Amino acid sequence: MDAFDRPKGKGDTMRAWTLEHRRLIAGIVGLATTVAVAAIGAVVLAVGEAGATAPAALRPLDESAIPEGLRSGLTEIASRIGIETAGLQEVAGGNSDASRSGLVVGLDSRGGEYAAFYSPGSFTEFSPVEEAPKPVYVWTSAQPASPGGATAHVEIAGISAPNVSSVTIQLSDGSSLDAELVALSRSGFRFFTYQGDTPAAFPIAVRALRADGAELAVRDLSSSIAPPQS
Amino acid sequence: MRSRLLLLVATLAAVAATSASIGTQSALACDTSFWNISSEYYTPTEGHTCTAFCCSIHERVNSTFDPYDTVLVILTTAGGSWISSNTMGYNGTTYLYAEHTQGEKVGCYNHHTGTQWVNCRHLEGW
Repeated sequence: MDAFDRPKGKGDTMRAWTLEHRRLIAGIVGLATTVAVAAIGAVVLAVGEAGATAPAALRPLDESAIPEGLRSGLTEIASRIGIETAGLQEVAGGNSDASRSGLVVGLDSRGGEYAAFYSPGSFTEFSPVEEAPKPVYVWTSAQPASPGGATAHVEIAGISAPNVSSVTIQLSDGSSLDAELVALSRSGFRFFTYQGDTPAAFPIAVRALRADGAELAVRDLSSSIAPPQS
Repeated sequence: MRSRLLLLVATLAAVAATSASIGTQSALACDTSFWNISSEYYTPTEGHTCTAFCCSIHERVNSTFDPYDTVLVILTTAGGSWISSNTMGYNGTTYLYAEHTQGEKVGCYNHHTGTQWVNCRHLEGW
């Protein structure tokens, strides 16, 4: 008769319970450890994803780094159509001191919201944001390193409609960025900007997503950033 | 009667002289029509340009087109080498700050995969 077959007394029962208890506690601790490690991993991954953004920030046009020639032109065009020039704001990339493209946004006296895109050496007229193609509108600008060369610099900026929850920018290397969306008013329209200076970082598509993750639209940018055929 | 005839001739001469000067300026802008760069079908990757207006660093390009929702506004060297391009929406205007004095050209370009009708013009100044 071995220990397994021997009739169990009170002491045996207690020892068995204690053993089971220890095993149970060990199991719980092990499970908790696994859950904690998984949770930490998920947080780390989430932080990593959240870090892949195309930042944007609003700041007064008077304080922007836009070259004086372009800034005065933008101000003049804005005033012609009744936009309050004192309230003009630049939507610039995160490192705005080095930003060379983005949006300038402003309001008229009735609260109408307007946006113009600027890039090296050019800018668009101010257009009412509610007239922009929905759910997302994207301007592009591209330049070679020297005349006639391959694309060397790309700038984009865009407007997302109120039903858009997030915007992602797909880069040519296969990665993507979450565009930071900034608002001038409570209209629901928001703005973003991005610039890429290496082929791997060129934006090739922009996606607009709903809050539930459903894709609302995709804008293919590849043909608009390619060098025109001469 | 004779003085009236002289006045008419003088008036016609003045009008003709004025037209000639406008014509010369417009010739630099490719033609004298409202769409002074082009008004025609563009096949894919086709563009048309005109020499930038003399003596100004400010130039703007305006375009209407169909059926696509954008064209590219392009800036090139005198020889046609690409300097920059920007997307522009229907009946939009792009303001170019071009510190170039070497006969650079501005124009419109069809970056789509299908043919579209493009009206394109440039104007001096902002």
